[in-house]
Amino acid sequence: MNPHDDLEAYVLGALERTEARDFESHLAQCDPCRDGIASYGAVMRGLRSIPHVAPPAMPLARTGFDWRRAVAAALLVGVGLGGGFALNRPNGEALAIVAMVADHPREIRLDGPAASGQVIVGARHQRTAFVVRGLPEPPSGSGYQVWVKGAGISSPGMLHRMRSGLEVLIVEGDVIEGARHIGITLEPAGGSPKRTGATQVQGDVIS
Amino acid sequence: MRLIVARDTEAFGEMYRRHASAVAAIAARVTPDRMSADDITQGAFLALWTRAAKIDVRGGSLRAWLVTVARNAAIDRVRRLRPVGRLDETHALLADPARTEDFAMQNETQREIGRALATLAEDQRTVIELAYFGELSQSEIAAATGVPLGTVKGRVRLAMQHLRRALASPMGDSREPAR
Repeated sequence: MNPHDDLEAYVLGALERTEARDFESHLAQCDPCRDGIASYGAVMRGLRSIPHVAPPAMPLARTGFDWRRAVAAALLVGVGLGGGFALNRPNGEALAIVAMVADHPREIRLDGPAASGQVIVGARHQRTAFVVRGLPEPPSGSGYQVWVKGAGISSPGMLHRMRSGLEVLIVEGDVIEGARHIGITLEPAGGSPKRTGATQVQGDVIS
Repeated sequence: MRLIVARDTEAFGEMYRRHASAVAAIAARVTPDRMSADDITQGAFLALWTRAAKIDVRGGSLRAWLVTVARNAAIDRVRRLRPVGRLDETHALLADPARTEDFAMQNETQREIGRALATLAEDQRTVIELAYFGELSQSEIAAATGVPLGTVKGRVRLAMQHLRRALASPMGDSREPAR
């Protein structure tokens, strides 16, 4: 390969270390390449002018860990939460909570005209998570309420809107055991004793 | 990776310290708002934690895996936010400060490079983002994307040459997408 061809990758920092060293050896004896580096000054100044973004707090941190946020974040990147947590460390309370939701979950899909989501029942049926993405921000004084239909109709609660726009509700126990259908409607804030709003997303529970 | 598979949270923390900056940078580059970028960054690492046993980075690197997961998630996020727009158009919107509230390109230099990046062909913009913001080498990009190394190298060269021309033009911009 022509050593001149590594010029752009060198400027961009896209060479492996050994490649960069080889190119620098070439650079010491190549005037056109030295001029070439100078010609990319504006490009690199431009790229460096884009503000550096500090990463967020580490997920699974032992303090301040928002496990609902973590569930939502995992769904946001399109991966399931399966895989299993083997808890072998002290102070792993946050991990334990995630594990209850995450370990070998039973998942039920929710669909609607403009949104979709999942119901996740954690290992040993200790918690149930409802996560929906794509719902518009509810009007002031209203929120999204979850309904579970089995022998009767009950509501485990209202979805909580996260900063990312995901709507999440996580409750103790397997609240969909024996259920046949799950729906989410727009209701007054604080919840309604019975369904009054249009269904936003829904899904059938297949035993 | 072996330690993360074994659920070693110290090893996970070390991986976070090493790679979070690049993952956050690529997420912030593609997504329109900081909150989404934060969610995607955390989501990529949570994916690492939950799927460690199934992740195969042979021939690549863990950083490349994380950066690629984050970038794909960010693109999906942008597509969902703007379902009727083509991705190229979305990138252009993100890079145009007049039409973007959250992307912090506040001075002229940032606006110029933003416009120049928006005029790159998609495959060329991808290698620039993965290399500069994701801090990946050309070899890592090739392994992570499945694109032959020679092709990646060619795209890097063409993209950089296009950016140089775009920033040298009187408008700070080349109106036609790079080919």
